[in-house]
Amino acid sequence: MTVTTESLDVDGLLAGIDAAAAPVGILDEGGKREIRRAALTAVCVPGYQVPFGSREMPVARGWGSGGLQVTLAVIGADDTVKVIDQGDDAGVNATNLRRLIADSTGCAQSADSREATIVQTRHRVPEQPLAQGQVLVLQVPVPEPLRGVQRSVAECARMHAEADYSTMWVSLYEDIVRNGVITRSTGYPVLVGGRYVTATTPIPRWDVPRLHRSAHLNLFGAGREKRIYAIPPETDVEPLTFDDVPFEVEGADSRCVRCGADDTFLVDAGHGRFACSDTEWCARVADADADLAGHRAAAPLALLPDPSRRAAAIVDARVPEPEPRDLPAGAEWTVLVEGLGKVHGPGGAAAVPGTGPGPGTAVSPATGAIVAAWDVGFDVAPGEAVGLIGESGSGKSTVLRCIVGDERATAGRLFLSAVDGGRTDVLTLDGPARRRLRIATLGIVHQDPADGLALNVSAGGNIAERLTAAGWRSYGAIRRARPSCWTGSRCRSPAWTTRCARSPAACASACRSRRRWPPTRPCCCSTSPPRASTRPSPRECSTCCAACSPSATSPRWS
Amino acid sequence: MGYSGARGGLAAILAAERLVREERDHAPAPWASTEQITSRFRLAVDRVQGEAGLFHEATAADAFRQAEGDTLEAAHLVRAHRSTLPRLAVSEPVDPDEMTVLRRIVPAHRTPDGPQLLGRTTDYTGRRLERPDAPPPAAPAVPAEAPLRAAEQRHPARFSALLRSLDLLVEHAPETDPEPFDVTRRPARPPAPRSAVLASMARAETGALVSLWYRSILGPDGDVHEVTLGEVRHGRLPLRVRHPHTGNPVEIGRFRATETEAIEDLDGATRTAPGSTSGTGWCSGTTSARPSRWPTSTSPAAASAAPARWSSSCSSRPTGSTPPGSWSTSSSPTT
Repeated sequence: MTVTTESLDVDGLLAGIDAAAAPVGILDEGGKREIRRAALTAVCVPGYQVPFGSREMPVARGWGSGGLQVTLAVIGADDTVKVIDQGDDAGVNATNLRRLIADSTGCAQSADSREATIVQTRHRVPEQPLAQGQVLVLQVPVPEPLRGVQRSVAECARMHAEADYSTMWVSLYEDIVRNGVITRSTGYPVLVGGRYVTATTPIPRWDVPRLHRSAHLNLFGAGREKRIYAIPPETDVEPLTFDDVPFEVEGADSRCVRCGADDTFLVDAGHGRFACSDTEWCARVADADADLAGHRAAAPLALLPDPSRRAAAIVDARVPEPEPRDLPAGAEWTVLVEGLGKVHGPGGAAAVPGTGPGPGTAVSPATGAIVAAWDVGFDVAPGEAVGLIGESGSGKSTVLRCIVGDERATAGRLFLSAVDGGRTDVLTLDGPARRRLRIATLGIVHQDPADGLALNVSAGGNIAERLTAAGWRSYGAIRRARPSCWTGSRCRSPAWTTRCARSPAACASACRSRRRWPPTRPCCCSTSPPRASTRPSPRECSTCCAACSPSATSPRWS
Repeated sequence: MGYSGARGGLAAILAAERLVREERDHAPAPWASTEQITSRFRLAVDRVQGEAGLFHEATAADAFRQAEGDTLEAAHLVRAHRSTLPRLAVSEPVDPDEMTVLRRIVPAHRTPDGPQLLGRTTDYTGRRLERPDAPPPAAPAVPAEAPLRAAEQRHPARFSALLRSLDLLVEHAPETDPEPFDVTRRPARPPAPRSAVLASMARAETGALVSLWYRSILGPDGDVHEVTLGEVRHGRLPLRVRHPHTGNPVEIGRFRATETEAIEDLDGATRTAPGSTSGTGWCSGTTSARPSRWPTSTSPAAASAAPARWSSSCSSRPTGSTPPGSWSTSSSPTT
């Protein structure tokens, strides 16, 4: 549709529209501009998924509509486009997309990766190393790498914002525990630019190292999920793996039946034979029109599978563990609580008059709010154990939940000697800072231990989650950390490995206690005692708070 | 607030009926004949047939016209019409391997056994809106000659057979569900037999199936779970009934059907060896868009037993047969 803009009033614009003329392209200029803006943002923040208003394309969603939009937004008539589907220029969908792009933009087409200025691809990076100035557009079905470990889209966004990827690490940890290797084959998660965990679309592992500090620009378009992200040239791309578990690429241990190459990504060609996935490269090798030495140097041959370096061999290897953190010396208290209060409902402090700690006095006569706790104050010295004792419903658990951050306190102040030397009110910190405290400084044992456990991962995974969140990246160290954290004697038995691989849901309830799943070297641990333990009060209403000495390698408990 | 009942009596009903007829039957445009609808709106007719579970083009076209193009309403009209018809015969089970393929795509393998037949599809074409202001020029008198296909090209080996020969397919014991459950004659109660689920999905509204598929792969209650499409085939199958006197199966016609096989990687803690399982999707019809365009909708709940010899009862009338249509699904694999 063509518009002449000589007249800027509405009637003039309408008159300038030639309704009978066929549209010139597949995307209007406004749409292209939006996609370019999203792509520019993506280049500026490598690995970050930029939302964009994905337009409908004349191909089905899920058939490369995201890649097609990105290509159409960045391509011009003087470009040369190449489209491959799993390395194959002749795939029907690749042919269709290439025809659409060339017909609607007037650009040239080529199957030669050296000539193409823009290569749109599904599931492969061309074997021919791309050069500076070339653009690789990848079609992405599922852009969210955390989708497999976190179902909530909002929670995924929070995890990306805080670079909180411990559940991702746990999924890798669990994979190694169960299978001996990381079994994720395509779409391997990578850390881009040291900041964002990113899905590498379903490209094989073989192609992942070739995104690292690549000379070309990588643009990822997910049409169905309405996301664009980018890996700019010369950006660090690290496959997620533990320091002592080497990343491996696929190894067919074979040669291409057509060109004889043994340094390319091979696919099954039937009857037990293999062939190059990249048909262009294969044909050029056969025609002696390929830079074999340059390709071999860029191929990830050093990352071929090597069983001798796998997890089973490294569990016993000595890897230095992170140093325990020290608490400030000479502190009089580790925890100081002043005037803590929690009101559920309207009114805040105005709801408090007329309520009290006794039975039946929690509901505010003024506002109807429930005053769960009010004006609670105490401190805990290093090594001291403090018990909060009160009737059922008197607010003991509420106070603890406010301290660890499960609930927002309505009033009061909280100081930890480990935070800013005890000068900062912890309750004023924002959500991410409070969550970091939960990782390394504060821990809680819930009355029902299952409340504090992730029941969809193994017992060992529950420990690994805290350790990876605290920055541990050695698989061997995480494995060894468990017995030393373990306080129950029977868990030191030779069977501990088996038990660790089990889900905590499968363990006996006593085993599920956080007593045995401690956080990383906490300076303060809170606990609601397991039902079977001795209680300081004859009534079933006690709550304990314990602080442990900073030198302990594992926490002492009340 | 409950439904209190619109009041007005017979006069209001007649007036409403008149309003419907006026705009529908006396629109200021030429009447759309049944023949016009069956040959110009083939996919709409096919969709009505599939969702109604009655395969007779003229009936579906009449319903489509009466429903003013609303396929949901048209399918309902045909279903209600089917309630008036007696059941004369029950067809024999069909072996899907008997299919003479007109289309066959194996997206999961670059060089499968047998041909890749693109066939009549818009899947791989730029689907841009065309705005013709006149009928297209007359078709060439001599149609383009179709390439000759060998018999084995029309009956290619299944992709799942290749996987099985490579020992990559985990076999499941077939469920003991020999006599198909007829959802049009008996109430299905949970746990419904597999054939009841299949028959219900075979008649399901297309949009609802797509929604079910999409929710199952990206829904908030599950992980990303996109099942790989192993093979799509579309072709003709024989329809046989037993002769009332001789008792022998007699072919009374052929019908078109679309079949898909989806491949699912098996992983997880309970896996004992690398492997996959396969599930089949099935849809009767002349040109069914359903399995071919949204392939994985055929197995919203992962895959099932190895491609079961599919069978279903269907009533037959001289003018058309009711559907053998069935989409297989099943519980998640357990091994």
